[in-house]
This record gives sequence, structure tokens and C-alpha cells, in this order.
Amino acid sequence: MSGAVANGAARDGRPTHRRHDRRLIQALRRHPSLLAGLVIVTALAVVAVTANLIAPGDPAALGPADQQLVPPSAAHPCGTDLLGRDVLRRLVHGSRVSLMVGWVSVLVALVLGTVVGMTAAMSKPFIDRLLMGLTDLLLAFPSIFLVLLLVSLTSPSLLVVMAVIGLTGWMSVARLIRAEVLSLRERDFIAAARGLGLAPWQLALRHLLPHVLPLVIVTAMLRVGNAILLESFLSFLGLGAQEPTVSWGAMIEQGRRHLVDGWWLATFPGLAIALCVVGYNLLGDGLREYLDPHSRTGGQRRDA
Amino acid sequence: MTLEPLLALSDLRIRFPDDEGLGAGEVVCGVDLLIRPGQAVALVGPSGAGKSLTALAILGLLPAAATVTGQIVWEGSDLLAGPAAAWRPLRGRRIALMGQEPATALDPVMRVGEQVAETVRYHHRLDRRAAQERMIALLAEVCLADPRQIARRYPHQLSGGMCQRVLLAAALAGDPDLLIADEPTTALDVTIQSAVLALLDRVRRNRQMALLYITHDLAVVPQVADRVAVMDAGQVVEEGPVVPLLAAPQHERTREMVAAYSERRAAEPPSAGESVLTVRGLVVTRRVGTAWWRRQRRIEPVADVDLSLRAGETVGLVGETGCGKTTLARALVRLLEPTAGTLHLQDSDLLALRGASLRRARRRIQMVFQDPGGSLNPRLKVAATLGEAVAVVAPRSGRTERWRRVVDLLAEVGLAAEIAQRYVHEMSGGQRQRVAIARALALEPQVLIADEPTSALDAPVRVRLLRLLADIQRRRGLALLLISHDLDLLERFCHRIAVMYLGRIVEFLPVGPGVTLPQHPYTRALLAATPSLAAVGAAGPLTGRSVRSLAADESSRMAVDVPLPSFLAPPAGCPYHPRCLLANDACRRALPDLVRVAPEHDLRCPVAAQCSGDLVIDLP
Ligand SMILES: Nc1ncnc2c1ncn2[C@@H]1O[C@H](COP(=O)(O)OP(=O)(O)OP(=O)(O)O)[C@@H](O)[C@H]1O
Ligand code: SF4
Ligand SMILES: [Mg+2]
Repeated sequence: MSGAVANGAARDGRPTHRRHDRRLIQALRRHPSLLAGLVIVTALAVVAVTANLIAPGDPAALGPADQQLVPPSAAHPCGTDLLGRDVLRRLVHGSRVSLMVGWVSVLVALVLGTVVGMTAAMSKPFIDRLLMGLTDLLLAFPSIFLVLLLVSLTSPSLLVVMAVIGLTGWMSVARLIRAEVLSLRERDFIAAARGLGLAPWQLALRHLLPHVLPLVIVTAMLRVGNAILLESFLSFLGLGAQEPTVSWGAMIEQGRRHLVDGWWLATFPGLAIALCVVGYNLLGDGLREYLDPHSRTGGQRRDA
Repeated sequence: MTLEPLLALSDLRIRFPDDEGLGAGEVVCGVDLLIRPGQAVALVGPSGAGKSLTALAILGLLPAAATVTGQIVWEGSDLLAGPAAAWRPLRGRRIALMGQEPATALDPVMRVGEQVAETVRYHHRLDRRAAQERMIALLAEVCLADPRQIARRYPHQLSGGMCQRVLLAAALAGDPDLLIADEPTTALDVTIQSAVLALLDRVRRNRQMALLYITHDLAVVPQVADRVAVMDAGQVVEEGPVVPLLAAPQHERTREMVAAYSERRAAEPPSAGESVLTVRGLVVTRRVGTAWWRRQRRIEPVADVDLSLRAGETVGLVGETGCGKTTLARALVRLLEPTAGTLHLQDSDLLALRGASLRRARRRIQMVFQDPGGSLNPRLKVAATLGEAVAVVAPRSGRTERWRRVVDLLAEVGLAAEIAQRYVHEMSGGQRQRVAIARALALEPQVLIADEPTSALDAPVRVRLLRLLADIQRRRGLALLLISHDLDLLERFCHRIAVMYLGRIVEFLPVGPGVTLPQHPYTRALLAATPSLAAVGAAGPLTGRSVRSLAADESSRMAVDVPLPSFLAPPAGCPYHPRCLLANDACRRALPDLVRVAPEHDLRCPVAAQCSGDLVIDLP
């Protein structure tokens, strides 16, 4: 109608790579939490991947007898533990366990949740109600109770921890995905695809999944922190990773009895956990703002 | 006319900074325009021509980034040469603006009367009491019955047409010498549009006010203006008195626009063969009010619809907004489950199909959606969108084969192959619509349903698209159901037209030489309200001269102040009776049947069937 509208359209021409980069930089500047989260998460990932390079040596090997419970110093920035092992080295190696548990369990929850949520949203009302009833039932239990129950039924190991956290975390994901798919189904392009005579699985994979993916990614980030916390908690209770595997939760448990004479034993793993959780939450929140089509910085036009 | 001009634009240029090297540049390039006191000038042009920017420049309301050069002379003094403050005493008092969107121009949490009264007080420094009186007088002037009661309402309690009247009242509050109306009726139904246009014309004559009427719709120009200026790409290409100019347009752009309102598809009615699509007694029920604490209510946006389409035939479906056209279309392609009725595609019963057999049948009846942008997946390129449709028909085809087919389809709808690499947001409205049509064609359907395929487009683009559809139809022998609210357009491109009112077909009539005239009071009211270039001899057969006499007829008028009834509380008896001037007691009691009154002509109104069964159109 007006020239101004026409200009807007002209400006919206083909995106160039240069402009993409610029938009990302702009988004980072406008959402500081996204930047902070990205920095923390990347740093943690680098540490976990290069653990053997930056802190060589076996983190479980006993240290010299005269090096037991040494406070933080130049040689041991985070001190040593009761068995003379360098706490920093153990922290670095422990990050691997935390990240692995966080990611694997969240992946399990996401896959399960997405499948259940999408199936429910796309099925007949009867199946939808059945699936969502089950979900609500499980959601009604405090998840920590479910986790403890499942873990205590088996012998403690990392694998069990990952599976259990994943299996108890999918319900809220399923609800979220279902709601999103239900609103997507009202959109014309989904109706148009249905009108072509596409099979349900084609509809799901080609048209629905790409549109729920941003939501899935944001949820994943927000949940990784949670899963790491849960793993630490289980290890703290002795239900998680077992020696000689290093885990931050287990380290806190060991330091629990030396809060006075060895404060560094529990403090540094605690800080590490906090940093990790905060980092993922910041990243998740930042991504949510960035990907949200309503926040005007707009990531919604990102090319799939 | 020797009156001194009220407003004179000369060589008006507006340019936007060319940031990011994307080339906005000059968007209004040297506009000259004269408006004398009391004169009505229409500024017509396609979207993006710079019409609204010109209006904003006159009011000194352009965004700060814009650079304006040239002259805007108001009563002899150049506003652009003076300080920006020179505009302040003019705005509202001498030059008033009536905006494009009534919904956003009114404050939703303030009673409409107060909004008008506030403007009155601002311009006239009256006390509260006097302003109140003035406001009531203004509301009465814009033909709002019972102005005192309406003044107490909030905007959401008013219909679109009433909101537009309130806006007109607010614009008149300062007793301006010039009213700039920027597409004031674009969002309204034709019935309401024609009432608002008539009102605007009357008010301006009574007040001897000058009017600058901005629109993209050439057909409304004869109704509102004495002079017309045709604008294209930032320039006025032609200017002059309305009737002579439109009767003999000089500039190519004008000629193209006028042609768009007169072009007719060669009438070649298909052989009266078997119908491809047969619909009997179709009912669609929908639930409204999804909040759990409210009682759910059922409405019937499609009630007892009979319809048939033959191969090679174009059937139009017309009706006011919300009458159920889209709902019917979606039920026909089984995107909505009908509650009752039958739906046959040739011999197969569509409603009996389930699962894979339904998916196979879907190919044969395709739909192009009302909003082409929304019906294309924003994350897929055109190539992927079309490729997907091609793969449905030829699942085992290879990449190159599919690509060739995609290019063919694009060519068939008149698009170049490079469009295949575009995303939805990188295309214009017309291009999107063509892609949507190409996708439907990829499935080689027998029936194509096009839901308002052209309502968002400028007239020339609209007609080009309809011509394309007609060509494709001829080539492929498609049955085409064309949904629109523009009766003039439909009768130029259709063989038969179904008129829908509140979920029901009230008349199903043939179009063409030697056929019976529309008889239903609603159809006649629609016809009388539909803007067309009949005044300069360019219009469809019905909206043309031979029927113009009907406009004076009692039966083709409509009580427009009675709002469109809601599906939640449909009137008993004939749904049209609250607005019908022919209604009698029988109409209020029982719903009339759809009966055949002439070959191929069905009518749901016993009163009209009696009084004028013998009218036959006289075409050259
Ligand atoms: N999803 C829905 N649920 C309930 N009611 C609906 C739904 N969609 C539309 N309606 C109602 O059904 C009626 C018919 O709507 P429909 O979209 O078919 O009208 P239309 O004739 O296509 O109008 P337009 O000319 O504006 O496109 C309207 O009263 C509308 O409010
Ligand atoms: S049946 Fe009666 S109310 Fe309905 S359109 Fe005919 S005359 Fe009017
Ligand atoms: Mg519609």
C-alpha cells in the first residue's frame, strides 16, 4: 500500500552470509545472557574434551603420602584430597562425567518426549488422551522419588544414572512438544501439506519437526543443567558413579566430612557444579529469547 | 473553475537513506498534484506506488529518515520552505487524515464518544458540555443511528463499518478544508464499503470540503471523486476528470488498470456433462469458545449446501466475510470433517475413504489457500515445496526428473526457474500465489478450489492470475471453484455463481448472455454494492448497465445498519430477513427451500421468485 511497505520488502531480499554473521553478532550483543552462556558452556566443553592434555595423569592414582590434604597452593591450585590426589585434576576429569551424564540423559528424554508428544498431537483423541494421561500420571510423582526408586532397584552405575534421569525427564518435554504441534497443526502450510496426501510420518519429519526443533534445543539446554545437578546429587548419595570414576557429586560427598580442615574439598566441586548449571541455563534462556519470533531481534527467519 | 488551489504539490520527491546498499533510494519521484477547494481527487495506484507517503508528506508526518524536496503549497505558502511548526495549526483543523486501519486508529479502552469529544475539545477549545453536544452532532452526521447510545460503546462493540464512521466523525471534528482518506474501506465488505463511500460523498458535498481519496481499487473512484490521479512507481502518470480519463486512458499503466476491470474470460460454457464433484446436504459443525469455564457452543458455518461442478467449468462462490466460504472449501478437500451430507468425486464417495485410500484421493481435489504465504512452509525453498508435491504423484522419480517437472510447473504458472531457489519471504504476493497454484497443479487434480486467490493483489496482477487459471483450466479440463467476495470479478470469469449467506447457498445462478437475472434480494444488494467501472462501460455482464436500473429497485437495497447476524444466534426463518426490505411474516417463520426457478438457476426466496421470474439479461 505505501512506499514504506515496498521498501521493507526490498530490504528483505535474499539474505547474504555477511548479513547472517552480522545478525548473530547483533543478537549476542542484545542478549548478554546468550553470550555468557555460550562462553561458559564452550569453556566447559573444551575442558572436558582436552582433559588429558590440560591435566595429564590418572585422577584416581594415589598421591605421595606427604601430599595429603594440602590446602590450595601454587603447585595444587585447588589443594589435594585425603589420598593426596590433585583436586583440580580430579575436577577437570570429573567434568567429563558430568557433561556426559547431562547430555546423554537429556538426549534420551528429548527423543522420548518428542516422539510421545508428536504422536499424541497427531493421533486420534482417544490415543492422545491415553498418552497424555500416562504422562500426567508420571509427572504427578516427584521425579526425585522416581529416580531414587529406580536407582535403588539396580546396582549403581553411570549407565543406570543416565538412563534413569532420561526416563524420568521426558514427560514435561512431551507436554511441551504436544502443545507446540497442536498449534502448528492449525497453520495453513500444515493443512496444505496434509491436502497433498502426505503420510503422517512425512508430515512429521518434513514439516513439523523442523518447526519444533528450536523449542527442542532450548529445552535441551535448560535441562542439561538440571540433569548435571541430579547426577551430582545421586553420586553424593553414593548411588551414582563409583570409584575409580571421578564425579563432582562424589567429590563433594568425600569433602563433606572435612568442611573445617579441608574446606577446598567440597567447595571447588560445588562451584564447578554451580558454574555448569548457571552456564546451561543462561544459554537456554538466551537461545529462547533469540529464537522467539516475538522478540524483535528475530531468529525466526533462519534458513533451515 | 477559477478557484485558487487549496493545495498544490509540485515536484515532490521523497527519498530514504540508501543504507546497507540495498537500494531504497527515491520512492516518490516528482509528484505534481492540484486540489481546489471542495474538489474530490482520487489518488490511485498499485501497492508500493508511494500514495501513502505522499499523503504523509502533505501532513508533514514522514519518518525522520526521509528527505523531502519540492514544494507543498497550502493556500499560497510553501510548507516545506517554512519551519516544521507551520504544520501544527493545519493538522486536524485544516487538513484531516482518516487512516487505513480502523482497528488500530481507535483506542480500545476508551469509549468512542469520548475519543471524538476529546478531538473536538482539542480543536475548538470548548468546555466539556459543548464538546459533548458537538460530538453527538458529528456522530449523527456520519449516520450512526442513536448516536448517544453508540457514543458510550467501546470500539470492540462496534462493527468495522461503524468504527470507520466513528473515525470519519473524529476526522471531521476540526471542520477541515481537506480530508485525506487513505484506503478507508479496504478491510470492509462491499456492502458496508458502498455505504461508507456514499456517506463520505454526501458529507463532503454538504460541507464543501475537499477530499483526497487514496486507494488501489480503481472501481471505487467514480463513486467518490471528480478527478483522478493515477500513480505508479512514485510518479503521477496521468491526471484528469474521472469519467473521460477512465473512458479513454492515455498512459499505458492506466490502460492496463482499466483493462483489468473489464477483461472477461471468453465465455465458452462446458458441455452440460456429468458433474465431477457433487455435494449434497453438506453440513459442517464447529465448536466455539474453547475456554473450559464457558459452555461450549456449536455453530454451523456450512449448513445444508448442495453444489456441483462439471469438468471445464468455473463456479464462483461469493459472500460476505465470515459467511462460511473457507469452511466449505476445507470441508470439500476433507481438511475438515463434515457432520452430515455426501461428497462424491465422480463415482467415489469421498467421505467413505480413510487412511491411504483417502490420501490417494486427495490428489484429485486440490485447494489453493486464502493466504498463500501462510500455506507455504517458511523453511522450505520453492524447489523443495514443489518437489514434495511431485514426489507424491511420482514417488519413484529421480532427482533430475523431479527437477525437470518443477521447472515445467513453474513455467506453467508463468514463473522463471530461478524462483525455485527462493524462500517464501523472498517472494511477492503474486509469486507466492503462483507457487501455491503450481503445487496444487503438480498433483494433476480434476478439481481445483481457489480460496480468494487474488484478494491481496493489485487489479492487474489479479486479472493476470485469473487469466492464467482460466488458461490452465482450458488446457487441463479442470473443474474450478473460485471463491471471492468480489462479484464483479466472479461474473467476468465464471460460468455459474453460488451466493452464500450465513452458511447457506441462497442463490445459484448461471452467468452469460440470455440467462435469467439474479433475483435473491441479497444477490441484488451485493450487485448494487459491488464497485465496478460500469460508469465508463467496463464491467461484468451483471454489474454492467443493464442491471444498473436494478440498483434503484427496492429489492436490491439492504438495511446495512443491521449488522451481519452471527452464527451463534442465527435469525429464525430466512437468515437474511433482518436486512431484507422485502421480508414478510412467512420469511420470519420458516426457512425457504432452494428451488429451481429457471434452467440452472436455484433460488432460496419465494417472494422474489414470484415477483420477477421473467427478467432476462440483455447483452450485446
Ligand atoms: N477454527 C474455527 N473454529 C470455530 N469457528 C470457526 C473456525 N474458523 C472459522 N470459524 C467460524 O466459521 C464461520 C465461517 O468462517 P469462514 O472462514 O469459513 O468464512 P469465510 O466466508 O471464508 O470468510 P472470509 O471472506 O473472511 O474469508 C465464521 O463465523 C468463523 O468465525
Ligand atoms: S425469503 Fe423473505 S427475507 Fe428471505 S430473502 Fe426472500 S424476501 Fe427476504
Ligand atoms: Mg475465507
